Amino acid sequence: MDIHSISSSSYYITLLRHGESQGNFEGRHQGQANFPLTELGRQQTRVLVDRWLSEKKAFDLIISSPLLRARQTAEIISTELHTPLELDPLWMERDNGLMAGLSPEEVRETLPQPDFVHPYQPIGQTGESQWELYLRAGKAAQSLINRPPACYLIVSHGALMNMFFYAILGIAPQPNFHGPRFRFVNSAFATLQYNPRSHRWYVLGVNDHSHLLPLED
Amino acid sequence: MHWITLLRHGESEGNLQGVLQGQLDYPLSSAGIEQAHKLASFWKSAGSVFDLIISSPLQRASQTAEIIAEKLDPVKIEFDPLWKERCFGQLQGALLAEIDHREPPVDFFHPYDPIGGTGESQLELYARASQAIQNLLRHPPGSYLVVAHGGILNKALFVIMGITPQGHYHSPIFHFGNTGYAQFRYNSSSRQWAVLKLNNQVGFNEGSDFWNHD
Repeated sequence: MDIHSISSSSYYITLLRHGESQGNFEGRHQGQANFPLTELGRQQTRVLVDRWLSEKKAFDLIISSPLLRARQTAEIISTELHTPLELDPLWMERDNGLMAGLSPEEVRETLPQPDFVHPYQPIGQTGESQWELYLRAGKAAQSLINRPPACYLIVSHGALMNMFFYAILGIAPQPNFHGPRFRFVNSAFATLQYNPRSHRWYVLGVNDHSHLLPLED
Repeated sequence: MHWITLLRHGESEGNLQGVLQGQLDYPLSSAGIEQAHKLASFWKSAGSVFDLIISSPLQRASQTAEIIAEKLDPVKIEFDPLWKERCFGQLQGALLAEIDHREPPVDFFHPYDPIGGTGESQLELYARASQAIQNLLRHPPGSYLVVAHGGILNKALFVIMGITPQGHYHSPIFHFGNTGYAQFRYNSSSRQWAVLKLNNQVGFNEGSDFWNHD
């Protein structure tokens, strides 16, 4: 099977985390606070595009979170790969309430630290609970499968992508952030296939970021 | 912390012939030997260190483990039958192309169905994977390499992630190419698993036996 070719019977989904943003660089809890890409973030995206060009990878459509760090990542790819781009707020990062844009120290100083976090608890006082995020990720999966089978690139964010994995793998939200945590470094992606005839998800790879090797040290 | 790498064996003679191997014992093909060497060199150059290698005793896994152990700093290999591939009953030895031909093969199968008439059910395989993970976590914190097979590794991932076996095709499949590996970090005080990588592969294309059949 060639996952790089555009096929009509299955969904081929590449789920990409945005490149490094100013908020990542400063170590802030971003949530829906709107930070742009850093120069490194742009560079990460460009080496990813080079890699995909050399692999002859093609997408029918790019769907991106409208938050700046995802949108800028998606725009670079859309231009270079000549692929249409749609923005969809379902793919936005978790609303983390009063934590948005704060450093970990600021969070510690200004917000209460609960001993126990249940999955219905709004994060950062006013943000989305883990269940709300999970439900949004489920909606995002549903909206994707409502489209015709094709090759899709989704540009999104770490926490939402984690709940997307929970939704497709059949993992429920758990208290105290238990449950597996899927790591995605900036500009890392996961590759998935969905067969609508058997309703089976295939996980072809997670946290692929081999394109970053030349940028290291 | 437990740092755990779960590795699928290199290409075997059975993969090359397109056979559903299960617990049938095929050695590595020459391409499989090369894949194992390539991965071993990559890990050597990356400075990867394992405190222990645990391998399925089936040849395609044990040979992969031995090639890696030889290249890395002295490391012991422990053979554990818990990490053997799923027993596929009467399907063992059949050509994958012939099995695929029957798609959709059956109207419905439940997770307690022995596969191939006399093989392991999905739930039996899941129970075996649970025991294997349990034993792994009884080792002291350290870095462990497990060399095993697509079917059993899939259920090990279910155990790690908290996914229950489901009927029919409703369970996800985690693809492992030949010498594809997954990496995890387990924190025994917070009891949290981090999924660091799935199906990472070093410098060659995916093997011939693509999907793990269950």
